Amino acid sequence: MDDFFSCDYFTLFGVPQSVNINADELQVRYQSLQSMAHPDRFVGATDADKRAALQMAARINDAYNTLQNPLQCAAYLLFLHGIIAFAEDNTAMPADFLMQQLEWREALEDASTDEYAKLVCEITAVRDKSMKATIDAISAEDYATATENIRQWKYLEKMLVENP
Amino acid sequence: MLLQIQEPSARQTAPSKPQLALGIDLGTTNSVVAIIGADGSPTALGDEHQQTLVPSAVYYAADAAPLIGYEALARQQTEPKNVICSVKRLMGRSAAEVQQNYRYNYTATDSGMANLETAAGGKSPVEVSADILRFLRERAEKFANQEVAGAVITVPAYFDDAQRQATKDAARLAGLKVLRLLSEPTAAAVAYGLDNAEEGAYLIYDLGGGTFDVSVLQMQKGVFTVLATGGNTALGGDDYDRALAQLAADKLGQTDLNDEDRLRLIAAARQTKEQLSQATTAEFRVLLTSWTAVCEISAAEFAAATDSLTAATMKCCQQVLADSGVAMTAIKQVVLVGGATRMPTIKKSVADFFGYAPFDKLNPDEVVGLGAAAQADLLAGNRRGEDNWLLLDVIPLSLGLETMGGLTEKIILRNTAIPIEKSQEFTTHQDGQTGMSIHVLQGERELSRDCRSLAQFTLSDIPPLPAGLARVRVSFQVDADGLLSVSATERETGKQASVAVRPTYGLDEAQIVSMLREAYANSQDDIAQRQLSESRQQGESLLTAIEKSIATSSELLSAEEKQQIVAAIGDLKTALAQDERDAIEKAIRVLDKASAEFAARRMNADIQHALLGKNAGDI
Repeated sequence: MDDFFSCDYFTLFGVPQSVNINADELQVRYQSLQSMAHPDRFVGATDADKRAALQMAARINDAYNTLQNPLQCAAYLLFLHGIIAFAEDNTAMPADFLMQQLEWREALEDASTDEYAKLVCEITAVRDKSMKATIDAISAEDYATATENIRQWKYLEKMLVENP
Repeated sequence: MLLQIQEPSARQTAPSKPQLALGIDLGTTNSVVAIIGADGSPTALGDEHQQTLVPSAVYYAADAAPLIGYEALARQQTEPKNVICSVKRLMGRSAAEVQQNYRYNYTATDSGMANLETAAGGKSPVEVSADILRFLRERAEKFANQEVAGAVITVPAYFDDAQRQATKDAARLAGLKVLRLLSEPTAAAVAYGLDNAEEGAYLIYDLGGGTFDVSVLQMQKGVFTVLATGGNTALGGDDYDRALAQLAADKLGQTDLNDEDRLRLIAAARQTKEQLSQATTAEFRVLLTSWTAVCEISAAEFAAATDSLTAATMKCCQQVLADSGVAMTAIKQVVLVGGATRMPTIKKSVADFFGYAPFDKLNPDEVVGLGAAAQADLLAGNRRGEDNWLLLDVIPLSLGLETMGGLTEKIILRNTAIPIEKSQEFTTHQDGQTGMSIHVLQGERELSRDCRSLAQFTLSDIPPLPAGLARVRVSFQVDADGLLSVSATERETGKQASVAVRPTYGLDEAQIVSMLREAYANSQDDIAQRQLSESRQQGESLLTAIEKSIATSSELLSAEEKQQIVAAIGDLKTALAQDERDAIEKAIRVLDKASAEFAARRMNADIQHALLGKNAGDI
């Protein structure tokens, strides 16, 4: 029997270890899990039951947030293989990548509306590339390549969030 | 968020008779208490004149019990300083923040909280709110001739941790068990049964007496998500009263009114405003200190005088829509909440803006309380086996920590579904450092001084190690009410420090206990007797629950674990027989600890079981 308090998030949600999970499937499972575990179902229960409910419901929420978001989900997959992708003491990035970043940021600042849209398109394409490279590397169990790509993916994702 | 589910509540003991569960809308200007009526639908409870609204006003006299509601308002003209109104604005706020816009005399307490000066002495905002809640509780108990089991109390969606904690403290002082704090727009959505409505986005337009709130909720596959909230905490029906009073003063040629006359003019404006919701013109009549003033005011004049206020609310709607990312045309319906939305000028503006008439079939003053009552009934376990739902709320503002340079590092982002738990590791910056100061913040701004300070605490006794080697893991847990607790563990030694987050501008535990004692001292109840009976009740229901669990799930326990629990049960039974509070409390703690792992395993087994049942059904 799986222990839902300690199993990985994929097991908790009954889905394969992958970045592309069917959103509907996730949501259905999320609802049935929360309908069992949410503290609202334990209002009249003992304190021990309430604590277990709070802990489980928090875990279900965290798992749902993680699996829903491809970047977080990929980082979580790497974590299951012992890699902390966004460790604070390891933020080294290839120099040419950082250069490109700086150029984009400057260009975005001075861009006209048309140029801006074009730049965002360009960045999105590169983001998609690093996303695909990460996912492919994870499938190929090449975690070093995956880690390098997921860091670039995260950088670009952040830039796109800041420049909608 | 709202889930529609069919399974019965997991582990609640079904009450033999329906429990009295209250829905309470603790409003800035008015409050409402509602219960599930004999016909099974929520009903707001009224006074002997069938008035369901209770003005959120408390009158304090030197040697008498406080008066609440209309009785308090009646004293406003003669003793304005002893009638406390709109205290909700002060909940969880510092005295310094209160300063700008508050007309009462107050002093700042040691903790920086405002203490309102009244004839009955200093009153904290929490105590004033508690007096209102007690009044509502007594109204319900008198009506139902039954003790209240618990209450769902609504709070604005954007209320931060300090404001929620203050609300919960007020309930505790009023002797109310809080089943859940529920956000006001979600309560309104429950009241309108939007969980059964068409999928899509809904906008809740809530114009109260003193505040304006807009929320955009997304309903999809029976799940509600709060997409965005916004509004203006200094805009409400009261502003319409003031605008109307000003209009009347201009018409009457009154430019220089004293305080007393100004209050009378505003009271008269409120009545005229209500008449103008029914008719196209109304007579404005006010008894001033020296003469009776009369003039005629038309609905059109009133609409024109308040046009800028209404426009401001529509601008808020636009802003919140932009924040939510939902196009105006994609909003399925608008729900009107708050008595001020009765004004024809509001209904017309909303209809013009969105292109269709808004939902207004429920009483806008009661709708939030009605939704809270439905939720309270569910949580109290009265709806076993019937139509059932689950509300999932989100945290309205991000939680974070102050980092070097006065910046905020967010740990839990706003709009994350709660409950949630996150942890973060910190390390020492100096060799041999044995203490670490942690400042918890709430808000979206980058600079920590622009965010709300929730709590500050120091982790001490960190083992003296070279810089960067000692690692402290700080965990943030936000419960289903949106309340935060923090715990910290040093990884090297495993030493744990639990930190109860008492808001920077709230009451601490000692103050609450002393206020409770005071309240008991003034009542007929014997505090010791009451506490003993509460402990007994808790002990007995714990025994029943555990014995039932052992009977049904003993296969989840090893012989040794079972023996431990059985021994703890025996001790609790002995303590109950001795009828001594301390012994009972201690035995409860021991049994609770002994059964913690058992509770987790049963939860696990229940989920397994339910999921298997579901899969079998699918095949």
